[in-house]
Parts: sequence; structure tokens; C-alpha cells
Amino acid sequence: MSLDSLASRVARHDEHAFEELYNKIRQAVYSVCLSVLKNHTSAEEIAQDTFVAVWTHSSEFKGKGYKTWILTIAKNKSLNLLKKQAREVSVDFSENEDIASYTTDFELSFTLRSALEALDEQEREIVLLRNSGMKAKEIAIYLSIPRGTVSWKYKEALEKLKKYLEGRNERA
Amino acid sequence: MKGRKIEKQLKNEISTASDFGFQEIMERAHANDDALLEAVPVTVEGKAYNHRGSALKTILFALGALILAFAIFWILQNEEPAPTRSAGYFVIDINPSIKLSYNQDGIITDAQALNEDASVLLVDLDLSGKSADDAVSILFDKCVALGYFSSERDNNAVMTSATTDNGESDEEMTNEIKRLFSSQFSKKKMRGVVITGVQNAELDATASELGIDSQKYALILSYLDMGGELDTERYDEVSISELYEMISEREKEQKKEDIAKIESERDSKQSELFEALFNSVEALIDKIQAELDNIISEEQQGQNIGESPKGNEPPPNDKGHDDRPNGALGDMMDKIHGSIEKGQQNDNTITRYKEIATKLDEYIDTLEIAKKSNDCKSAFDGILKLLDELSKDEEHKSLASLVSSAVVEIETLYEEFLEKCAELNEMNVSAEQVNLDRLDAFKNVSHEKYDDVDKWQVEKESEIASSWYEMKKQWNNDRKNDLKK
Repeated sequence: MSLDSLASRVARHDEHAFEELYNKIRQAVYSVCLSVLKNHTSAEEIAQDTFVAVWTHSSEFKGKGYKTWILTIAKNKSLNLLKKQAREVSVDFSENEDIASYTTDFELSFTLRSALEALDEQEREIVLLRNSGMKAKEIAIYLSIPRGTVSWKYKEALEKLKKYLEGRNERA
Repeated sequence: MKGRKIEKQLKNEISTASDFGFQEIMERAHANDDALLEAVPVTVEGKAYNHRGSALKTILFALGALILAFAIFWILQNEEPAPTRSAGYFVIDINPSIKLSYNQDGIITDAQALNEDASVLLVDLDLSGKSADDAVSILFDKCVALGYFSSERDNNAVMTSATTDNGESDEEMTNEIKRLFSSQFSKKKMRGVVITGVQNAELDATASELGIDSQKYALILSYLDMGGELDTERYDEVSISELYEMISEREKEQKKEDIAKIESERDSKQSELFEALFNSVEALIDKIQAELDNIISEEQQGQNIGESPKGNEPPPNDKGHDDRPNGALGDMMDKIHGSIEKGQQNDNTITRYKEIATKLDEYIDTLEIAKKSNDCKSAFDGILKLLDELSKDEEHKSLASLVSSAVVEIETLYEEFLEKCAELNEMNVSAEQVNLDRLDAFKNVSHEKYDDVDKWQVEKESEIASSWYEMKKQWNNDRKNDLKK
């Protein structure tokens, strides 16, 4: 069943439909949160908040683009948390600081942490979403950029990541 | 580290990290609902109206109604007169094996397929309410139409036996069914044999030692042959009817196992094919990128050559027309024109390469989606067609040679993958489709008429009865190949 057709069932609080939705897009939702927050614990919390919000507010969704609507909620919630954290805690983002100091969890793999460190925000988002199962076309619609740009940016980002990882391996 | 490896790691990691527990989300969502409800109660006529309370009442009412309905149904069932008791059943085994139940008047009450071929035979057939005579006539004609009986073969045979509901042999009915089938062979002038049991001395002897009859023992052997398990202690207590059911179930299980095995082989081929395709396309995209970088770099060098040196204004051309000027100026003009032409060619090449890269990209996306939906064939067809076009690209020979070698490897894998898909399709085809396919395959078969049908029955009966199960195996294999001709 397509995501857009799940929307009405979720709006009627159909738990099976909601579970189906969760299974289909949890990776994409998490990827959006992680690309903004760069922290697994915060990303997990906001991803859960996103699903709760979807459960509560699906009746307000109309038309097409359910996935984009959900990812936008995830992004907005992530940005809000980031702003809140910035107000509450000042962190020194100096260049020499190890990534572990602002990603406080050590559950993420070396590859994923490198992706967070080496890439800019849009590159992170594209790489993580691409590897969470989203098509280039869907990412293009979500980010409001051309599909071709998604493809080339993804390739360049992967290349960047590859070089970064090779560089880290050499230094190690 | 290769790009694909990085992607694989990222995919696995995101999949694991994003599994934050649906149950927890559901609990939070419900807690949120409750909080919202308490915050904004809906009032109806001055009384607080609890949505959840109302829902609970509705559920309880519905449950009560259901229990009541079930109770009424149960009472009525017990009050109703007992359903018509079938007097027994007979089984006909051609290879389609069918169990037909009949009542005390010999009227058919039920027809049950005991194997896949029987399911095909029974498509669009309703034998309930028919006499045994009519049922046998209908089944016989259908067997001819589907190619289960054919005058081109000398192994048309039916085994039949009837059993009462008490589990005793119904010899009268057995003989009647035998007579009806023999009569059909005679009417159609088709050579065929009808037997009422397997007659094999060795089999008889072992059956006798075990204290069971030969027919039951033959069925037990069939069941064990299919990988079924049955303790010797149970040989006596298991009924013929149960054995037929067990054989039918075992056949379905075996088919599931075979399908799973072929699916696994197909998936393995599919993975190999994906891997090969992704690697080839990735290499191709890298190559295109490198070629593009070369072209752009050459173009920049060409532009430098095209600039005329400052302060060195060329002398006017006395001839006053567009002929190529002589000397260094002429050489420079040649280089500029060449550079412009090269620039145009480069533009075309850049455009073409970018088109190819974009198309390959799109096909990769399609492959990724297809991988998830198990619908890979159309995606493979598309990408192989594109690679085939590229391998014949005269203008971009370096690309073409890279693609050619990749295509050879991929095409071999693709053929193997298609074979597995075809095998699976054959196994998953429905009884209705097989019915249609067999009707189509045998519709123009002409049937030779024989005058010695009765003699044939007499001469061949004991031979067929003693080698029934071996003959059946061969017959089964032959039928599987009918639709491949």
C-alpha cells in the first residue's frame, strides 16, 4: 500500500496502518533527525516525537506527499531542539575537537560518524536519506532541488567520505 | 574503501540505529491521546462525554451480541437433523487422484482433489448430485481433453477402490466404478486398463507380515517415498482415507520446499546479477567522470591557444577576401578554428556523457526499487538494453570496450537468473491456468480408435497391477513435460 493511502487510515487511528507506516519510513525519519542533530540519542528521541505527532495530526494532512510532510515535521522538530540546545548549552566547536565530544554516544559506527563529520548539512541529508531507502526523486522533492543535483551531490559526497575515511585510516 | 562498501555499511547502520521500538511509540501516542482528552472533554447535554468510555460500551455491546448470536447458532445446529451421511467414498487414481464421496443412493456428494493434477482436473467441475455413471463419464471426457488419457499412449490406466464409512471395503461399488471406466474406454475405443488394487507378490508378502492389506501398504510406501514419516506401530490404525490425506499434504509440503529452494537459487542469482550490474555501472560512471574531466581540461588548454598575443596585430590581408592567411597568422587561425570545432565536439561529448550517466543513475534507482519489490526483470531488461547500446557506440570507443566485457559477464548471469524465474513461474502457476494450458495443448490431438480395447484390458491388467507405482512415477514425469513441447 502506498504511503499516501495509509494517511487516511492513520488519521482514523488504525494501529496496523500506523505500524506499516513506521516500518516503511522509520529509517528516513531517523536519517533526517541525525543529519541535523548529529547525535544518535537526540535523533532517536525526535524521531519518536515525530511519529507521535504524525499519529495525533494525520487528520490535518490533505492531498499527496505524506512522506515529505512527515520528514518536514522531523526536520522542524530537529531544528527546534538544536536551537533549544544552543540556548541552553554553549559548546566550543573548535577544529581540533574530537567528534566524540559533540556526539556523546559511541553506538554509531565509525563510517556513520565520519559521514556526520566530513559532510556539510545538505550532503549529510542526501547521503543518509539515500542509504535509508529513499529514491533520488523523493529526496529531490523533499529538498526542493533538481533530481540530477541529488545524484551528483550524492556521488560527490560519497567521494568526499571515501577520501575522508582513507585519510583517517592512514593517520590511524 | 570502495563506494559500495561504504553504502552497505551506512545502510546497515541506519537500519539498526533507527529501530527504536514501535510499541514505545504507540504507548506514547496513546498517552498523548489521553492527555488531550482530559484537557478538552466533550460535553453532550451538560454531561461530560467520555469518548473512550463510549467506545468501550460499544465494544461490550457488540461482544454481547456476538455471543448471543453464537449461542443461537449452536442451539439451532444441535436441533437440526443430522446431515446426509455419505455411504462411503471411492478413490480414482490416474495420476490425478480424486476422492469421491457418495451417499446410500450412490449419488456423489463431494469431490476432493488429492494431488495437484486432480486440482487441475476438477477446475470448473461440479460433480455433487451426479450419479456415479455421470460422474465417471464427465471425468473421463475431461481426462481426454487435458491429455491425461491419450490414444497415442499405451499406459492409460485407472486404479479405483471404494470404502464404506465404516472403513470396510465396498466391493460392489469398486466393481461398479471399474465397470463404468472400462465402459468409457470401450465407447471411445481407447486402449486403457482399470485395476482395483496393486498386485505384487513381494508387496503382498510384506503387507501380510505387517498384518495390513496390500493396498494400504502400497499407499504407506508411497507416503514414505515422498519423505513422509510414519511409525510402524501406526500402520494398522491409520485408515486409507487418512493416508490419502497425508499423501496430499506431503505433496503440498514438498512443493513448498521445492519452491523455497528455487527461490533461494533465484535470489542468489539475482544478488550476483545486482552485484555485477552495480559494479559495472559504478565503473562506467567513474570512467565517464574521468573522461569529462579530461575533456574539460583539454578545452581549457584549447582556449589558451585561441587567444591572440597582445601588441601583435596581424597585418591586413591585401587580397580582400576570406582565403586562409599565410604564415603564422594562418597557423593561428587554424588552431582557433580547430579549437572551436573541438569545443563543439567536446560540448556534444559532454552532453552525451552526462545523458548516459543520468540514465545509468535512473536505472540504478529503478534496480534498487525493483530489488525491494521482487520485480527485477523489467529493470534488468532496461539496463542491459542501455549497456548493449553503449557497447556499440562507435564514437566513444573507450567506453564501448569497457561496457562490452562487462556485458558478457552480466548476460551469462542474466540467463541463469531468467532460468530460475521461469522454473519458479512453472511451479507457481495456478490449477486454473494449468487447466487452460493443457486444454489448449491437447485440443487438436486426434484420437486413434482401437477395436481391441476389451482384449487390451484383459491382457494388460495384471502387468499394470504389479508395476503400478513405477508406472505412475514415469507417467508423472511424462505429464510434467507435456506443456514444454
